[in-house]
Amino acid sequence: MRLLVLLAMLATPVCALAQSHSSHDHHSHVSQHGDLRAVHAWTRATTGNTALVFMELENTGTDRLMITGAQGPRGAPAELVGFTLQNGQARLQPVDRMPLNAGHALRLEPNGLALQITGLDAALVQGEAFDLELQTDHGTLPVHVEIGAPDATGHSHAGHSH
Amino acid sequence: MGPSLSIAGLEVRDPRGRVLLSVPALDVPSGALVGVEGPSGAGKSTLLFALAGLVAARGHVRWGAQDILALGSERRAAFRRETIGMIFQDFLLFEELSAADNAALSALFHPRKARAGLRARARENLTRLGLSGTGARNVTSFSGGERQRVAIARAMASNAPVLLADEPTASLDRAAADRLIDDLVTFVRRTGTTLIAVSHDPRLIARMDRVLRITDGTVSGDTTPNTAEGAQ
Amino acid sequence: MMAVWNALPALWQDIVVMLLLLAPSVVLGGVVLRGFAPWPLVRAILWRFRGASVLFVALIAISVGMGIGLLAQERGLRQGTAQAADKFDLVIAAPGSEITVMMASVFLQPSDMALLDGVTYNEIANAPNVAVAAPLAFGDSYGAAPVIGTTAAFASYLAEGHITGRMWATSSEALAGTLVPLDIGDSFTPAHGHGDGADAGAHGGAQLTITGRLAPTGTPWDRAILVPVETVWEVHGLANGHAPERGAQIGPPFDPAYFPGTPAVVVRSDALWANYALRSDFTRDRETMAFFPGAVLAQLYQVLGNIREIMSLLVLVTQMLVTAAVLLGLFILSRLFRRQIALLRALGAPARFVFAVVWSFGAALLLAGAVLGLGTGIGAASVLSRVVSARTDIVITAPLGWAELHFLAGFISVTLILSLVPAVMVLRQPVVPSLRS
Repeated sequence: MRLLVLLAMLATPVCALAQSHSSHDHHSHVSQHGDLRAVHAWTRATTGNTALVFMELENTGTDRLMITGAQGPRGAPAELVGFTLQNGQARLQPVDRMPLNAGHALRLEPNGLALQITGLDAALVQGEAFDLELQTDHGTLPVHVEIGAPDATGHSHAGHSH
Repeated sequence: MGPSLSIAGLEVRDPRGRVLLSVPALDVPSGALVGVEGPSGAGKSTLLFALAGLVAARGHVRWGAQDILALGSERRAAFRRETIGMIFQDFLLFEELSAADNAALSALFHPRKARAGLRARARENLTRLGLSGTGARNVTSFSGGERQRVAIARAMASNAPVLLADEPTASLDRAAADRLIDDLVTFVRRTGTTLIAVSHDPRLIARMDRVLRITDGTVSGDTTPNTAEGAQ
Repeated sequence: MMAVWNALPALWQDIVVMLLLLAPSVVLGGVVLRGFAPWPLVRAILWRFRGASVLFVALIAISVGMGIGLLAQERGLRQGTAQAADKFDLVIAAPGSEITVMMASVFLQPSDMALLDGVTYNEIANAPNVAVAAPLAFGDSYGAAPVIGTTAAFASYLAEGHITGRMWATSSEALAGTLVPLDIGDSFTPAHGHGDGADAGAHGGAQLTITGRLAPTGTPWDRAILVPVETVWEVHGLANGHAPERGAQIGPPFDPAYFPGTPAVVVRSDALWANYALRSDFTRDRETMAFFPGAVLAQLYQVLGNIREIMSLLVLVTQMLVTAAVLLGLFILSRLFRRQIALLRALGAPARFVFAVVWSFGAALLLAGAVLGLGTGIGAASVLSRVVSARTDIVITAPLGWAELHFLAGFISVTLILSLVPAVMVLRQPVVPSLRS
């Protein structure tokens, strides 16, 4: 019975909101460094050596930020890639730098912009998480990435307002 | 010199256990010409198939030292390949193949290195049987007598020392049958082949060294009508 | 192991998969036929049963061909639709269904859509890195040709600059798509609406003249007549996007106060990254929706991918059934040559040789059917492509791909293994009854 109540609480946005207010930097869904805020970072479980990481980014400051890349778990390299459709084939094209204007948000999502980690040396297991360092011209932002199902299309808490 | 035949306690039953053939003892020396006669259904063909190891049977059918009934089905096939040729009433030729290809049929399943020899012998057999120059022709155009000669050439392509014949003249008219009997007997005598022929044809039976009569699944007669020819 | 595999170029992966799929056939053939030369007999049997053999080969060829044709066509359709969306990097519209907007803008299948106002349009057009921001105005037609209002920049971009004749200069001039049955210099009056419901008299005053023809694009736009967006607004009695004192201006900039609205804006940016920034910027609740038609198509393909899998499975099952029927037919045929089979045994042929003959007979029919099926498939795919292209104006080519070859290789291996069954059954028939006449 207590378990049920706990589950019900976890499942409510109110609960999630309460959690997000209780901590800032190291909260599992929200990361903030200076003016850059990263929310709901997630990826898909995989046994391969590459993975796409998606998240919502927000520039809360007054300066333009430039996202230049990232570093995956245990030093695995990562880069920004953009989805394109060429001859009916989905392709990922590298995007060197991605500006994020002051007051603007940027969504990294499937079939759009994403961070591609290459050279993973261990499987990404559903339900687990890892840290990724997002590199910007204003420093790096550690981002906590949740690992969803191999066919996930969004973050487990997507739609909640943090 | 081919193997002699020695039968001991041979018994063939149908699936319900009824005895179809029972031959307690029978010996045939190598090179003999043996006719098998008797009423229809008496067990003549059954004897022939038992000698070739093609039916399940009890007892012993020894060709030389080898008891064919003691072998498994693949070793029986291998034994037939080397030792026993067979011909049938309706020839069982492949109508789509030439006479030469029919005669050399066994080359298809012999080891590669033996094939050329088999083909050469098949051609040689056709010539001996009066079919020289017709090897390339399709057998569809052949008369019954010609077909049976192709069948004999096929049976003897691997130099088998034994020829088993099941009513070899029954599908032929009298004239063709007579010519075939001549050619068959000449062929086996010249090659020293043991011939065991099941037949209703008195002219064929008359040319044999020895005639077995089979009635109700047993050997009821064993005569030697033609010692003169056998002694030639 | 996976790392080695991933490091292989795609072509090599395809070749390796192909070889792996064919490997069972090769191994099986080698094991069954080793040391034998059954071909003269197989040829003889094929010839004896030539009628049935031809029928069986035709059945297999048709079922394989249909399967291959469908699979190739599905991919061709995917590539064709993707090609059609190629020029539409980013589309911005009022919030709603991305698919509806994509169907309207990329494939010219318009339905009622909410409009974006002039302020929003200007914001899009003036956003950094935007090279082309073309408003689209749908709703009119001339015969089978939809009449689309847009800007000169977009018309040039669509035809990659290849326009025979000249660009429009006034709101009474138009450009014809390559398939439009109007020549340069011809005049026409657009009708309101499309097809049977079109009202030819609604725009009675408007007489437009074709001044140029666009190069082929292989998209539904080939059948469209492009006009200045101002023209569409004017014939509908609306303001033409410019203040009265500038009423003769054609093309941007537009004055928000006189901008009647556009259902969709096609945006081309000068850098890949800018697309993503624009998409994020113009994805606003209740105001605008920005999407990549390519991504929407990719999502559709993903859904269709499941259908494709089901389709492939159905094709496979159908082919298995046809094959099973053919193999059963082979078995029945083999009853007809059981005497020859028995003869082979009497001559001392090894069981494996008899087995090899019967199996090779089936294998010959299956291989012939599969090879013919490949040809049938190529033919079927090209016929289907022509039909679909004629109906949709999307240029579809459906050349054979590795997927079809893999499919064929798998089919061959599975059916060659299946044809062991009649061979075993033939072998189990008793010899002596067949030898007796």
